[in-house]
Amino acid sequence: MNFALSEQQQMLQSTVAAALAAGFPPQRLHSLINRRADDGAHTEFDGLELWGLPIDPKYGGAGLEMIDAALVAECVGFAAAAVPIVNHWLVAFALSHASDRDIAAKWLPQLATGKLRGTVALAEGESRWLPDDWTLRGDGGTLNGEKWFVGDVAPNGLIVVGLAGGELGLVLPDASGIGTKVLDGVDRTRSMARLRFTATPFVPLGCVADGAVRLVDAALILTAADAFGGARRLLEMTTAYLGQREQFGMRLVQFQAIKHQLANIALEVEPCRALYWYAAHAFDHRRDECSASAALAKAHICDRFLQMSRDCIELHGGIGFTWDYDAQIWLKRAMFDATIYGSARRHRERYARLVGW
Amino acid sequence: MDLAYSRDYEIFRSEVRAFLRQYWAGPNRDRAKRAEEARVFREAAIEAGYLYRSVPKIYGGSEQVVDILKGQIIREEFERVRAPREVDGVGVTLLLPTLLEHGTAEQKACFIPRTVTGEFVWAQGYSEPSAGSDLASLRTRAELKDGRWTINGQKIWSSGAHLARYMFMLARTETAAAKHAGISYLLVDLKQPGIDVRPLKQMTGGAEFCEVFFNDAWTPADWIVGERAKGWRVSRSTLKHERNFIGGVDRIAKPFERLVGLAKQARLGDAPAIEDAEIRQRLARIAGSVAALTYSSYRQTSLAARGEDPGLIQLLFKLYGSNVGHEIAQCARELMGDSFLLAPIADGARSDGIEKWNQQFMGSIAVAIAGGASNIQRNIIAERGLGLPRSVN
Repeated sequence: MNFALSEQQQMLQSTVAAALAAGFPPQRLHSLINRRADDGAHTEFDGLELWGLPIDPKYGGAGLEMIDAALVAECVGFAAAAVPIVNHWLVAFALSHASDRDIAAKWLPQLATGKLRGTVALAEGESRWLPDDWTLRGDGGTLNGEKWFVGDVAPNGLIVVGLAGGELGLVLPDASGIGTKVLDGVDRTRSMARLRFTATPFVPLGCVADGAVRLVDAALILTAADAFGGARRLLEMTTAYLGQREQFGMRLVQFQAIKHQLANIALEVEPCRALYWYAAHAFDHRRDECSASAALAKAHICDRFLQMSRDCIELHGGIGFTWDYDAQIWLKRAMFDATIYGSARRHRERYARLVGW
Repeated sequence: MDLAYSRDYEIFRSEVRAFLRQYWAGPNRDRAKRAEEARVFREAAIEAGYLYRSVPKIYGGSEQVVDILKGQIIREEFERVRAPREVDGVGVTLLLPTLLEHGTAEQKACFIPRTVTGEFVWAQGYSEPSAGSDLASLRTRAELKDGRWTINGQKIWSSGAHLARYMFMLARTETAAAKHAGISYLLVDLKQPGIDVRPLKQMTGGAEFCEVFFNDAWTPADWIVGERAKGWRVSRSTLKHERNFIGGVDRIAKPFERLVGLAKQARLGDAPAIEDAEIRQRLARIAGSVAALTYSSYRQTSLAARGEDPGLIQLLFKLYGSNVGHEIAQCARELMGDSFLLAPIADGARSDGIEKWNQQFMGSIAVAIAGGASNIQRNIIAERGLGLPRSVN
């Protein structure tokens, strides 16, 4: 019984945190949200060679578990880093479940090095995020239709596409018939596009039974971890700011009303850590509990992140509401996390069903 | 990360199970026989090393090497078959660790063995009418004269004092000292003419806590725990234990299970309430909090077992549990329907009907007050957890 991080996991988190802090200082985040020229580089992060973290060592990956991936996602959320790692890993999870082993053998080694990038295209608008909702059909080996809110679309990358009946398909690099419309997302630290497929060739992944469910579980867990990291950052930022801001001749953190509000926020945020850990642990070790835990963690943590980000900005006063102050970056990440892969309401209803209520 | 126990611990678990099979047949249907059966069972469990593990053998404990995971396994297995664990009450949870840490050899020998068996029942004497959250402003006086302490004053919110034989209390022994520096930790026999214990009837209709009046009451000079005027520090170790004690995950996980049971039993319109979309949302919201706290306790246990400081999380349990208690109360109220109009205790007996939930509705308020009220918890979280300055206002 050991529900705590190993030394290697602590090391992983501190190394990733340092690389992301170096690569994404606040100036760069503001540059991104102001749409100034950005080379899109993440050199320090690339240096850690994490692209293959969850990929089987026989395909050149590190063979680590969901908990390790989630620990990295927490750091990404903390830094608001524009690294396309989560979507990339989701492709890796999907390909790992492909019943056609040739697909895994062909593409996973390239994904593991990071030379080839991947992303997932699941949503179809109107809150259709989950396998049961998907309507896109892959008749005759080609796709015709749209996918919404697709992040990190890379030129010549792989795209895993959710299909009607909860199937998954793989669109290969250089596939024809893909129209990309960039969407102006509320969260500008993450890219988003609408993809229109017109007679686009694809390969069915023919996943083992629950492939799409596993993919969604992974997405929910990594989003929950991202939200926890973001909440941790905003709490830290707010505590620091209120510690130096003076009014009535006192630092704001000397007022009991302020202290109690910060205590209430910490109270909501800190227990979320173990909640996402458990879901991530269940992904590999308690599969029968995984979907319920992932749904609960996503709903709970993203809800908390959204509310606490409002509270933190309110605590800042006027400065918190400005475009140029950092806080808005994480409020918008909270808006993103709350919505992507389905609402808290949806996942709570799924949880209720999954635990047999 | 591994939620399974290692082979050594699984062997330990099977030993505990074998012990329970041999010595525990389940709670007796005849309530009158339960106390004696529990006493006999506890003796065997102490002999086997499963209860009072941190208490030395000479004081009636089982004196085991500290092992948080074994402690956890014992709790799980005993709970599973509803076997008696250590005796309930503040004597075991609060006084015992304090005596082990600060008591003299004589005090330990005199009080610990019979506290462990439940023969000595204790009450806590901390709060006073004008010293609640600001406990250190307490005014009950103890003067040392003629070789004994003479005590005058009043304590309040003393749970179970009407059933207790002894009290551990904080009293002011140095009038000239600053408020925290003038307090001593004393033990007192409640059965004496100078002490008047009056149960206070609570809003639930029950009477579990008391006012205790001291009018030239006395206690021997050597019934002081720790040094004279150091009582505040001595009592802090006790309060630390109490925070863990009240914040236990069971205290929210169990009521939540019962709430789900209520939702299955209660009806909204023509269907069981649990099928109502809004009720399912509310239950799932609470489930998120219960799960977050439960898994946080796994993390806390694991870190403690490694000898690492779990940090902020351990300061949160009490307040988190209190808040979940409020949420459960609100959800239960909606499920209760008209039963919300009925008293939970009628003619001195607790109800078995849905109206028994009114006990939880009111009792959950007490949880938020006892053992450091929620606003005091917020001070602790802010100051010790977030490193914010101490309040001046």
